[in-house]
Amino acid sequence: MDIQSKNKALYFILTTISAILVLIALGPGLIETGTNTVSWQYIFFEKLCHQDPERSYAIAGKSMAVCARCLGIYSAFAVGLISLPLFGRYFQIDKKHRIRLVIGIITLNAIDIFGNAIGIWTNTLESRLILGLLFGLSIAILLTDEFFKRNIKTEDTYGSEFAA
Amino acid sequence: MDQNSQPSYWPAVMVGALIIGLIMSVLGIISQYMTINSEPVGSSFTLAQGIGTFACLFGAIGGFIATRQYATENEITFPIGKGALIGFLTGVAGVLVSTLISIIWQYIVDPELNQAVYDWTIRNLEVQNLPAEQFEMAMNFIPEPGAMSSLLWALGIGIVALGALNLISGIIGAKVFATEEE
Repeated sequence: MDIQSKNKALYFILTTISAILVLIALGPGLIETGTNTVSWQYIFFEKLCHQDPERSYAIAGKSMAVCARCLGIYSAFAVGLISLPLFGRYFQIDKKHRIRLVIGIITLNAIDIFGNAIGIWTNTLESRLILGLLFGLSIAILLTDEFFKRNIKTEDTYGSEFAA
Repeated sequence: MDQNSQPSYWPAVMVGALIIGLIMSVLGIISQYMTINSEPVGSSFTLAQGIGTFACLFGAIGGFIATRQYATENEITFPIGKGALIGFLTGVAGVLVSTLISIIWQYIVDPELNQAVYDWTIRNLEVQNLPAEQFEMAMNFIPEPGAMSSLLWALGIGIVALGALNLISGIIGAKVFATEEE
């Protein structure tokens, strides 16, 4: 099975940005800077995440710069992007189904947040992380065919490499 | 439509930037007033911060709004690379709009707001009873109110963070609204 890649420069830029975002999101526990409440990593994400320590994982006793759900989103998006060549090789899903997948997972996250807010259930660090992971992964999957696409041999192209 | 003859994307960028810039500013200012009117308890998370976060989560989807606007207004398709560019520019312009509104508010409408937020942040740190060394380190990350360096610091961080996030949301917007199934 052959795989065709395109938009290589954009793929490289996007993957690099995503990986850097994950490294910053891991917070001051990874790279020793700042205190438990003030560091440049917190400042970077302060306008993008609530950073509630009770809803965040910690490294070396210091809360990460984003909550568990955001950590899931950023890390799964980065890992998803890195895995796209494999995903593109073995799976091919229609764009409309990929959009439905993203909408479905956003809805799932919204239901989780709403249910927790009105007291129907209490979500946990793990449940928030898992739902975030699903969201990040679905976004990466949405972009699959923009970067990698499986070459399917048709009657017109089958054997053409030998003919040439 | 030929890629070279496509209409300018700047109107869509400006629409996206104005929407996110206004919302970020208004909710950001509300969040600052809520902060200074609350009692510092040493927590790094407050309800006011939660409101500010909502504002900026909205700021991160500026690229999505701008690419949707560009694609639907002009009924065109375009590659995701162009979506990335539109998203990045929307993020940068949104931060500029938001900073401009903040400058007007903090220097003309209510010049004491910045100092009040700064004092509140110091009191919040003091309540935490940090060791002197950590307190000093924390102070290094808190910009002096009204200083040009603090404005440039906020502008720089905002451009990098929201530029990157809107670049991603611009790609997603282009994928959803402006590309065709091959």
